[in-house]
Amino acid sequence: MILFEDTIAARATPAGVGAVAVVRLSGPGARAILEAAVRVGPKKPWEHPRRLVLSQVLDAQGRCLDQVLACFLPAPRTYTGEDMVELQGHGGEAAVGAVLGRLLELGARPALPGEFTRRAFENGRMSLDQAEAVARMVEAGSRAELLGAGRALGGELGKRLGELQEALEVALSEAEASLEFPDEEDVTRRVTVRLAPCLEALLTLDRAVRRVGDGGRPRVAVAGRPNVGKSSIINMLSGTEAALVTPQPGTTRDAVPTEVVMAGRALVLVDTAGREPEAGDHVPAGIEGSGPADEAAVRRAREQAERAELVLWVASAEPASGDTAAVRRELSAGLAWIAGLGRAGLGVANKADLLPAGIARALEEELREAGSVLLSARTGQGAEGLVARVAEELDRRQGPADGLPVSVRQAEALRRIRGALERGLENLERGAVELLAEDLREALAGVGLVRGEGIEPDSLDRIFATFCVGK
Amino acid sequence: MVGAGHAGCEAALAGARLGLATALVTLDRTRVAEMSCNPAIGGLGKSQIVRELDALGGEMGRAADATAIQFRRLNASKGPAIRARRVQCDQADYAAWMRAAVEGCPGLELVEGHAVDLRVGPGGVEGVRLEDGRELLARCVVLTTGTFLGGCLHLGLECTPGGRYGEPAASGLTSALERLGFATGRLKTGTPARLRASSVRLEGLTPQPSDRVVLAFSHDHPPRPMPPGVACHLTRTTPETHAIIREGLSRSPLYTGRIRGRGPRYCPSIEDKVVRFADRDSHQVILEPTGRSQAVLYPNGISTSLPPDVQKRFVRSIPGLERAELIRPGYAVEYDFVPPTQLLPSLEARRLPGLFLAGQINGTSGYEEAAGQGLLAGVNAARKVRGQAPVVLGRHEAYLGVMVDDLVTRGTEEPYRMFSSRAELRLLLREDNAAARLQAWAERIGLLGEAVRAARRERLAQVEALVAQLGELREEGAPGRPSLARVLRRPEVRLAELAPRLGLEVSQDVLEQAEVRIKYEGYVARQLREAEKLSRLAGRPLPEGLDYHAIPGISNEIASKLTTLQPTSFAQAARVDGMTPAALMVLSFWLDHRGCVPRGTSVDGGEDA
Repeated sequence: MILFEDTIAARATPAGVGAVAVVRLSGPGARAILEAAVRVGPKKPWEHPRRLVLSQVLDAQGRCLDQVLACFLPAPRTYTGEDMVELQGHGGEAAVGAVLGRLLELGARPALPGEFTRRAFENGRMSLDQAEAVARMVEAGSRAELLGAGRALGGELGKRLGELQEALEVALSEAEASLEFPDEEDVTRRVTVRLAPCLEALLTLDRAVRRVGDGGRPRVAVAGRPNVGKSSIINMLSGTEAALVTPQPGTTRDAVPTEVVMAGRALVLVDTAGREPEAGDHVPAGIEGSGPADEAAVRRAREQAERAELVLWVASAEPASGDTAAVRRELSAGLAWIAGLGRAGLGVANKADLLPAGIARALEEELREAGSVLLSARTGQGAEGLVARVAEELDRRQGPADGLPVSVRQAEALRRIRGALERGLENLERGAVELLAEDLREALAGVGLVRGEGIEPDSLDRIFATFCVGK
Repeated sequence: MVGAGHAGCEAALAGARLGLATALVTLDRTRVAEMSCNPAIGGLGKSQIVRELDALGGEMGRAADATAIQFRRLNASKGPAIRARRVQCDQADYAAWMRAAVEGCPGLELVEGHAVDLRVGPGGVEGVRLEDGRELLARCVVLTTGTFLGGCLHLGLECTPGGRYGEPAASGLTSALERLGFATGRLKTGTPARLRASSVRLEGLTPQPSDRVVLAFSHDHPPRPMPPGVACHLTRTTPETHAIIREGLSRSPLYTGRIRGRGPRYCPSIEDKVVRFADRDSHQVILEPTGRSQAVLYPNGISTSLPPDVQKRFVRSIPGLERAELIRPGYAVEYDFVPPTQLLPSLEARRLPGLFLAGQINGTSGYEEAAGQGLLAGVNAARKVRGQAPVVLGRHEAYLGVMVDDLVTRGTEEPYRMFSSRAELRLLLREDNAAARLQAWAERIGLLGEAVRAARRERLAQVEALVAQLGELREEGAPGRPSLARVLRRPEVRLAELAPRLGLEVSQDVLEQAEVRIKYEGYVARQLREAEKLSRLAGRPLPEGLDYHAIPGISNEIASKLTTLQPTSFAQAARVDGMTPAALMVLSFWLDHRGCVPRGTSVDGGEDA
């Protein structure tokens, strides 16, 4: 079955100079374009599929553009399900550009982003959840994430979804049978028995997934009043001098994203600007600006906090020398502000090195109970505790780092399934089996959304196969 | 119209009432509208059809109301969308009522004869040839041949041609259709023995009495009390019954491969139940009187084609039936059908203009399903003669729309019975609102008299007014309280209890419609949004005569199905078995870029679909 008539080409390795660059072709014309593009010795790549054959790519005048290893992969057992060609050439920009240009001259079309994977999906080589897993695999920033994406690519997400779908279809057929063949008795009990596996399968699935944000990596914003050491914390976590640190309060004006890997999880740390609190400031005004430049920076900071999966509120631990309660007050005020933005927050008291050891221990204990962390960005004391807490919070919100990655779209569909099942339970309690049936259909539609395909449950087939019905 | 069963009678009455000269051909005028199986009308998924028929001006609802001897509301304790009316009729009264309606209908002639061939001209069908040489010329022909088309009765290993016990089959038409290029297939159904009531001991069996109040199928009759007296009785098969049946399997036409036709899974014979559900040692049997006199009982649940001696023995192993006398044995009937994917949504044959098919010839089963198609075929035949556009009901409008769409789009492998789960918008397609849903169509079709239409409009207006009123009224007149409509959404609150307190004076029917509408509002609104999406897609037409094999990217299997079926819209194409979202995408892409639909026409779905 030929789904697409045109042949697409693109470089498969990242831009920039490297030792080797790979250019790929996919589509019905891949072989013809290869034959037209290269000069070969007695061994021709299209006669030796799946082997690397030394070839020269020539321009229209017959001049050699690059020497490459050419590999012809005949359909259908290829990534896209179509005829494919891979050319491994020299990694210079000019060489890659020239080879790609020649392929386009010969009738290939530049591939759109993700188009190879899309063709793989359209040609039935992989399901949509696998196709999405490929994107996650490419994006994976840590070993744990790679493992999760790999499991999804191996079809584990599909398998879990299959289990949920099966449970839902069984429950639906039980509900339908009770509506269509009402001789059967004690419907509520029998349908309840069938709903339990649905909830169990959904719970298992929920625990197994990692919800990936739109930008791919979760963002962690670091907020707090000026000069509490926000940038120092970022530098400590990233092990670089990414953020400019000065003793001058309010040095940071723009939110600077830094990519780090923490506890097996790739994430983006974002610094935000701070400001001197004014007298009578009840709201933690840490990021409100005073001048026009400040105002702009502060607006961006607020936006950063709103876009973040988790916001760290940093306070100085120094006042604890006099009164530990003052630090706790400052942290809880900051966390309330974050909660007001609808985000998750984590309190961090910095500059622990400025406290006498006894007070530091007491404060650490008090903070731990409140879920907050005592830290010294300067000495690194408490860094492990912070990393663990960040990972814990992200686990809670997104799922484990090595979970099966799901996109925003898929996570939304999972939410829809949960909502439908919750409604279904309520409806069943009230004896409204016909509404429960609608809820189960809705949940099945949700499974279809995660999978990227329509599901049409044939509850009649199931009923006839399972129940002794009829007059 | 060929065949005077439930489909044929509705088709003929519709055609004649719309003012066309109509002939109804039957093998035996004394067997018009016979109930070949149990004399019940309605039931789950089916009562909605009868209500829809009545909303459009069909006869079945009135006939069932007039001849009912037992009434039950099924699923009464469950949600209103799945409640159903079911009546048992006096079998003879029902047939007599329908025959009187047919014989008394101006413009309708009942013709006794055996239709054996079609007369076909260059423009399509031109009439029907009878065995005795007569020809009936017609602009349109509706075939409603039931189980008579190539019918064959199985009783044990004996097989005799016939359409019903003691009646001959209709031969000839199948080969005429095949000569014209129609594909045909074979289906099977069955019925149990009939028992002499005086030989049955009902004492000790569980009675199943009638409900005390009968809700009419007809929209023009109020609920009325049921005269007492007729009850059904429940009994069960025994391990001995099952042993006798197992012993008899060697002489079963089903289990010796004599029956090729596919039977209905939802209505298995007792031998099927015993074999397939071997772990169960008992199945329910309902003894249903077939008439007011209660002389004959229909044992619901033990349909069979085993030989008569086996039947007699197993029947007598059932409590209460120890001395039962079999008035006639049960049997299976195999008959020809014309796979309905060969029809347009108007029920007109694609390959032969003017020929309409309805009922079991389309692979369906059930009096209600047959009558519904009969009405639509009769109406559409009349509209074709008049040059009017056919009536095609949407899946979101009626069970009739769901059924016809299922048939012409997907076809069927077994006798097709309506189930509520076949309707995506089940919560909307209810018994209570059939007239409201189909009001616009009823006005357009024109089978109802002005007085009836006015009365129905009035009731619908009352429902609207009541719903609006409930949205504004607050309990006890307290301004801060939620509206009564909100209160009513709670499942435990019943409008019937609120109504007297509020001084609302409307009929029970109006009350129920308003209540159900309010209770389902949230769900229905969501389903309607889905339906709207569907109809937006449905609005995109597919050009006629498309060769889907020419479109790259559509698998051969799907291309063959689409080319045969020639769906008229995307929505119809989407429901073809095996259709994938990817193939639809390819199809839409192909049409956009080089399709036969000229750009600038209503590609994105206009009013014309």
